Amino acid sequence: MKNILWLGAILLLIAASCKDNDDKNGQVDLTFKSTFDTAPLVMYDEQYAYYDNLNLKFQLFQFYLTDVVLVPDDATSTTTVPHTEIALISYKDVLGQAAALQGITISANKIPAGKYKAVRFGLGVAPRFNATNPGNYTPPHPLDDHYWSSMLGYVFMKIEGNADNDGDGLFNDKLTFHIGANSLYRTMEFPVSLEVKEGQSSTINFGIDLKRVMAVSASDFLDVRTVTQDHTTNPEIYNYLYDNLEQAVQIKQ
Amino acid sequence: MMWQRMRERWREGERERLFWVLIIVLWSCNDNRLAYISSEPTPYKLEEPANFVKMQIPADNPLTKEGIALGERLFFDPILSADSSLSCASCHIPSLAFTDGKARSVGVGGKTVRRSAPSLINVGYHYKGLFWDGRVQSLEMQALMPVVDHSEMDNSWEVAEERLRRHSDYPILFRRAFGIRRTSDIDRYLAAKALAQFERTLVNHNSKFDRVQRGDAKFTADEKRGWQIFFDDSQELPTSECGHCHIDPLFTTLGFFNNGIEQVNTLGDFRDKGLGAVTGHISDNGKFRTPTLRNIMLTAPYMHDGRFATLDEVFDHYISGGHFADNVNPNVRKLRLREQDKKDLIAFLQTLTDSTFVNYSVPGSSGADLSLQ
Repeated sequence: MKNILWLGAILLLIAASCKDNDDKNGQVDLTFKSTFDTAPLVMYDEQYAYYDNLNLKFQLFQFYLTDVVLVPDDATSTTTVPHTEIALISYKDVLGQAAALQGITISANKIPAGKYKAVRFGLGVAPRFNATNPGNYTPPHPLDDHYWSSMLGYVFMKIEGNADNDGDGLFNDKLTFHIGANSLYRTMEFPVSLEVKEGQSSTINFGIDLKRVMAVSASDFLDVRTVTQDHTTNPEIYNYLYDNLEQAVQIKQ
Repeated sequence: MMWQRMRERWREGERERLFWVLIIVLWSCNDNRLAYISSEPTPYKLEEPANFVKMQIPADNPLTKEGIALGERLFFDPILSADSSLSCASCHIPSLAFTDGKARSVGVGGKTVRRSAPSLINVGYHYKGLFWDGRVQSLEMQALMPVVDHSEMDNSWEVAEERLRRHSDYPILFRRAFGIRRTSDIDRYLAAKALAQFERTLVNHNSKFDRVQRGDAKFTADEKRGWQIFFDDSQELPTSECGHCHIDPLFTTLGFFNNGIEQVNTLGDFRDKGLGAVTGHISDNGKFRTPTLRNIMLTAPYMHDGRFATLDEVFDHYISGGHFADNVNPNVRKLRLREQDKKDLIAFLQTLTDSTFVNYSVPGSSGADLSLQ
């Protein structure tokens, strides 16, 4: 009888200990706010000054992130804490300033409490996901759409909008850039000083400047008067845009 | 003792009273109580094409043979319309890929519906909103609306429910499908669930295109060229830009777009605001759900209002780049297609015809064993 009581007490202690560990989690939000230069990026309504006195409007800007992880402060390079496996950061429904200032957030609420020194993610759809297709998923899922069957892969980034190339006030020049290929996938890492506290939420803010995606400088920009679309067909165009996307993603502490 | 008394009364000429008591008891059982009928709905395993996105089936409305059979019966039965003249199938005719061949459908009393009847092929996969304007999110919600739409069935659900409750067959069918205990348990929501179950079985994936994808057939040279133009798969051929919105395997992204068919001065000027009337966002005005191109050869006339009678007219529209408006999808742009390109595109589009439902005989022949036994 005495032994049974001891066994019960030990089991209770183990259970309490497990519960304690489960509760030592916090939430980490990654918020991605997009701008065009410094102006919040709003679909449809807002027009944005580009180079050479050109003006642009947008209807869609989106890109994928894969394997979002947090790197613990005391970790070796191989130990990371998973945050989000795959996410589509889409500004399609950002239809006003308030939504633009709010940005797009991906959240994970089971991040172990502790200090973290970096956040890392893949820009695009990792090859293991890019080998799948929407038939592998039940909506809503980031990969239930944006699959380009003839290319056997996902479109990593889409920019769709209109330009006013002749200054008549009509944005009737169409722009569509649909970029995606395994060769474009790349990993990015950003140093952070993040402490996740039990039961609390923390936010890491990122900024993405769409103008920087389309241009490096006033003398080095995508000339939308001559290039109005790319479906990952012209390496000069799609590499330029995707390399720029990497540079356009910045952490905002 | 009781039997003895009954026999005495029988002898005493109370047969008539007893007779009426029995009639009332039997009537009561028949009208209100269905529990004596067995109800063990048989789970139905839908065969989903491997390359289709997985169908969302609500946990509270799983597919059953009995539910699908009831939905099929309701779909083809005019009982739901005000004057019992129109069924769902009046505007969604199987041989026309569940459209009706009209620019705008005709409802009870000859009233014209404001839009064209959309195809129901693969409608179970429509997870971004139903109707041309996306105003409901589930087939269960969608099925409630045409019954009470004044330009469609022009009925009330109260009347339709009462007809179903008084019908000789439906109480039993609802019992078998949903386990109801009384006829009064029959309601619009169960009817809608049954219709939704039936509609989820309208899966189409046996066109020549599908067979080519599976390696069971080959495109002709014209069809392949049309496929390449459609999906912008060749640097040497022009693109028709179709594949952006009509992506395979559903041949629709299910998204909502303004494809430039309406000439307006401002976004507020659309006569039919489409998605904009649902969301309240002016940038959504004039946007409509991208329809599937599966069975496109069977679904003329085209667009949400059937304004284009032929595919040639459709091509001419897209080649022109459409009318300008601030929210016209940028993928709608001037095209450089020649007559041969159009012919090749049509050759490819013909490979999307699937005759699975063309020879549909109703009801009870939806391909699966849906017998009610």
